[in-house]
Amino acid sequence: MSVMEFLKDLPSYDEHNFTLFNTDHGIRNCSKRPSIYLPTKDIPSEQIIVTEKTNILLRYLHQQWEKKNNTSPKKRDQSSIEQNGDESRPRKRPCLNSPLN
Amino acid sequence: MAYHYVVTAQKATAVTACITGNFTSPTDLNLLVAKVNRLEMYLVTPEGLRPMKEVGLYGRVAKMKLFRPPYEEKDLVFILTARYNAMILEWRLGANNELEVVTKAHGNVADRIGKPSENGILAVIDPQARVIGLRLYDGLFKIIPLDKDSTELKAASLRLEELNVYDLEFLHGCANPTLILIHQDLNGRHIKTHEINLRDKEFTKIPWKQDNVETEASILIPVPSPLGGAIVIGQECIVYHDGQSYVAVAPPQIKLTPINCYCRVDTRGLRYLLGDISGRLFMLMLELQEKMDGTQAVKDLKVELLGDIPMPECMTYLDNGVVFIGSRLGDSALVRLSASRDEGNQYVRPMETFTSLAPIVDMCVVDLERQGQNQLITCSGAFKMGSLRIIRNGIGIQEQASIDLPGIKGMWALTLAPDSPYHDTLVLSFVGQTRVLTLNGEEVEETEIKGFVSDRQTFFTGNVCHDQLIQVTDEGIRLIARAAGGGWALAAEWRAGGARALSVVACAGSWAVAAAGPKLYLVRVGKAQLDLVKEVCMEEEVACLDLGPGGEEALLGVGLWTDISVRVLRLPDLEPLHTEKLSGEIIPRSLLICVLEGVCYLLCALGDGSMFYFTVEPRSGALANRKRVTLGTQPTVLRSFRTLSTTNIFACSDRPTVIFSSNHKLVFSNVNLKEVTHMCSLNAEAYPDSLALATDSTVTIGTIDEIQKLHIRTVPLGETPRRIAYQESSQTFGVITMRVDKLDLAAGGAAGGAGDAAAAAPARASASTACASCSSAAPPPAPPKHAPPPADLEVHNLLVLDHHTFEVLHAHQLMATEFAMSLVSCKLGDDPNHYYAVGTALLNPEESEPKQGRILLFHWSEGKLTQVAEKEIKGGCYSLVEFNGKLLASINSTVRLFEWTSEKELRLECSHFNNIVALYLKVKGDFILVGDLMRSMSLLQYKQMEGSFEEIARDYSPNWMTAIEILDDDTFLGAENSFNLFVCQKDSAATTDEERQQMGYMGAVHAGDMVNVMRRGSLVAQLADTAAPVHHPVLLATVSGAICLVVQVSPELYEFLHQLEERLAHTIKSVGKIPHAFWRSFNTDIKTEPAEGFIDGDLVESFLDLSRQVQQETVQGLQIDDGGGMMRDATVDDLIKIVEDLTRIH
Repeated sequence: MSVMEFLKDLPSYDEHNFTLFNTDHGIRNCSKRPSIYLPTKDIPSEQIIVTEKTNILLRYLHQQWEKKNNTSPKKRDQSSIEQNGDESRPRKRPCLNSPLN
Repeated sequence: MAYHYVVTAQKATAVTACITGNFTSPTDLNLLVAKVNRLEMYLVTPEGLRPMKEVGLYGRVAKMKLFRPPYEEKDLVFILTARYNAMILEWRLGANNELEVVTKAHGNVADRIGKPSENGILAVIDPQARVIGLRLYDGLFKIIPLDKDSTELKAASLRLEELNVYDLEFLHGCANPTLILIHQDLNGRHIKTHEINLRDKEFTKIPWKQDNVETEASILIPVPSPLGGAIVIGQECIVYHDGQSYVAVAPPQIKLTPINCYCRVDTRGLRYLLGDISGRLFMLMLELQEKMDGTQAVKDLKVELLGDIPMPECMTYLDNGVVFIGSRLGDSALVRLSASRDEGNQYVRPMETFTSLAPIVDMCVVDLERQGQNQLITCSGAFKMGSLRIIRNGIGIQEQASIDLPGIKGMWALTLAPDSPYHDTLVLSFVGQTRVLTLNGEEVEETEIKGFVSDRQTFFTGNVCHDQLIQVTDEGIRLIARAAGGGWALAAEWRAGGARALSVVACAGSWAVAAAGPKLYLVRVGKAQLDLVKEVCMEEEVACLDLGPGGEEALLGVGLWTDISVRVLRLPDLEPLHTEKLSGEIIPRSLLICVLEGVCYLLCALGDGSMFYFTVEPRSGALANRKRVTLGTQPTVLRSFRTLSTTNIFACSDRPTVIFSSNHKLVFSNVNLKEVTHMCSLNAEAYPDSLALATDSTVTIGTIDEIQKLHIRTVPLGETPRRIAYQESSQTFGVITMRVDKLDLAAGGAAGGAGDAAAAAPARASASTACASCSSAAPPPAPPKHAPPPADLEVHNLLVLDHHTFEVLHAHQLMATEFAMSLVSCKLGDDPNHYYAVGTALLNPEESEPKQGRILLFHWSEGKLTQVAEKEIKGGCYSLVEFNGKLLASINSTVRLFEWTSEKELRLECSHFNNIVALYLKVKGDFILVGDLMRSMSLLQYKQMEGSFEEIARDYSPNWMTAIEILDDDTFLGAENSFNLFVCQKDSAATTDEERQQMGYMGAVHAGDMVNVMRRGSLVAQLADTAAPVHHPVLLATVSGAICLVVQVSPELYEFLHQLEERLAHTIKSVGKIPHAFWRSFNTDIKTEPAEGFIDGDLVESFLDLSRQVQQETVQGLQIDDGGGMMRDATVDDLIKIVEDLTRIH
């Protein structure tokens, strides 16, 4: 494959771009510098990026635990039974917060 | 306490990142370039890149990525700084059509714990802009889900199994954001993908992976949909993988050097440009085939070498085959890809270069022209982009046109067309003739004006009242008026009586004053008539004269021969008002009276290039406030000119200078031209607001810069410069360079015998190989037989360069494994000669630090380099300094003093051992400041009587030093490798020995760039009354090509500027919302402390760029000393005056 094929139909966003670039006098040296932007008007930013402070290990354990709770059909059945009004059983609820905080 | 002002004279030039996108509007195509802590926005236009805005950030840009959320019409930029400040920026047109930069989101994403990755920060954005991914610490991957509707973007860390990640990217065309990464474990490098569940903030599954890709695979290129998958770039092979298909190629072209950056060419992702670290550009193309189901798949990967580019750090495809190449090792460039090859067999054509000084490795401050104006010569760039840069401060002339015409004695611009506001004619006078040039558009052609004398030298010509022209020659004065037919004709003529011809003349309004010998003639110019009004005889012959403003009663200044005096007379009676004797015997050559900022000045330049200047009391003509400055070494001609509606003075000499008034003080700015003999202002239609400048051989038409700035000249070397030293006695520079020679393995193999060194060939012609005169050290002993020959050989040279032409006069090659580390020009003991001393290290790859080295002394005289001494040392010589006529060297952990004996040998006198690696040495008097690799700075004193060193103070903090300097007897400046500066002071008055031995911190600031070298000196001449109250200037040069200045200021000025700094930090809003105090705080891995003892000059000087109204608000309540110890409210003008003075110290 010739280099021609590599370099044919190079993408063009605006076909005029760089058409008036003059290299007759050799390689140009860019001496123009952009003017400096000095904002004095306060534009509040729409969003603040905050970092989650929870340790990833705790978050992982938490997630695992929740998953286990949510996905175990047995427990769901149990709770539905409870809600159905079998009052003779002692209502034992798992402690969600204390060990984790 | 110590008080300092730190300011950037030259901003960093190294390009660290670049991206193309639609940033400023949905239709604009922009280039965004990051240079350390600044962003430059350009617009792509038919004429090329047009600069739009430069934005300074309070942080070093670590990563810059563009993305476009589905609801946006243009691209946004995500930036992460080295200190983990994240921001999302938008460029948009504000209320008054001014471009503004909006911080859409910001926050710090640092974790309190975590091991920062050794491979650096990686940042990626999902192609559908759902999430930003960051790899900041090993084993963790941070995600910032991009949720448009919430006011908080919650960043969360995920555990990443792979510890050693080299690159990562998001894959295109995935239902959930899917990461691909290259990681390394004991078995090699592998690629792996991870799908992310954004809601649960966890990795859910591994869609596919590929173990054991190439061992050096380091770059991932995600391929856009519909193809998807990714390209993996390794040292020798390139792989495409999308989970199902795997295509690998090993193109021979890429084998030699690693590829370090890429950019996508077409949006479909079939073509990519790859750049390698040696500066070669390749194109990678995906060849497709149709699969059975009609979809396309990658069949093959093709790579083609396109040509040479600057050694790239980053690159980006702009439009129509034009690519921007950003470099950290030299000039960045704009190049055009072209299907046809040029003479050099290249498919790449350079279009434009962007000057970069980076990295500055060493520099010297030299007053080459011996005029009190320093120039800076830097060792810049590396490898094929290595160069010396000559940097000087001055006003630049933008040349528009030039004509070769030797021997010009005078030059004036005329308007011949009726009622034209523009000049259309240039009159040039030569010895014995006068020539007239017509400016016709941009064309210049010779013509004649009827009535004009052309066979004599013109002393003056100009447009005068009644639409007439005046011409003064030695014969007399001629008045030329419009003739009936529209041409010109002589209207009146006046000749001086007596034998003496006219020699000097001045003309203003309706007056002409001419002098012949001691006689002065005052002639009134009327309509077609010239009348002698007054004739006086001065005591001595007239040397120069000028008419001041004031119409009928104008002042006349006259400079006389023999008694060397300046007289002030008043028109029309030529009544003498004032006599001022100038001291000395040099004749006044040029005199000028002019009004600058409402103050009338008389300036008188002498034949030796010095100039006196006075203020003139307009009524009495009395001269006061006499001052003298040296402008050059040749007779100086003073001419006034107007630009931007202010009057300025141009002093034509071998060191052209522009004199202007600022805050009622005269300011002298040298012009960046070698010499100017004559000049005149020119306001032609094609050359508006221009100057015509004559040198010995040419006339140049150009415009003049508004302000003085640094001008950079490049001397390309083609190899890496490491150290530079100036030797005034031999008018040469010594430069240590390093070049990489390729070992010709084929030739080595053919020779066959083990131990035969393979023939090393220079990779390209460079300063040391192209030099006509060469010498080299004896070849080293043969390397051990079992050692494999290295592929590349680093060859070190000492080059001797002429100090004017920078031509390489001689190249001396060191031994094969010998690295030159240090260089100094020195004069030792009673020996009258100046020597170049070179400190070297002999490198053995098996040793952790050099065990052997040499100190070599060379003498350059009459075009020959002779080695006069060689001293073997036990280690690498990191630094060499001349010290009390002896040679001071730091060798590994020791500091050693060598004296030069009468037998011309270096003899060790004494040593000091208390360092890890003594990298830097600076001396002042008997004191030696030592900069250590990791143990900060210590101060030694040399005891002359005992011939020993005593350590008198030390900074006990663990700072890894990169440069040191002595500011004054007690104060020391250090730079360390976390981009901070600090000042230590020794406390001689402390009561206990323990306290005395401790150098206390007296200031610290975050410079934001790694300082490589510090040198005492400044870039501006200290002239007359222009100096700001600052002392002990030190110039700093950085890895990114910035040049900074640190000066000492008084506690009062510090206190005042500190208040201003705090106000400005409040007034000027930070883009990215990083507080100024955070940015400037001293920050290392182990501590962060607020900046103190330093004023941020960059912030203070931005005061001048604010609008008057904002300046007014900033000044509110600021108190200033009125000079007598009383405090009063400062005004904007007070501030402008103080800050403008500060801007002139660099």
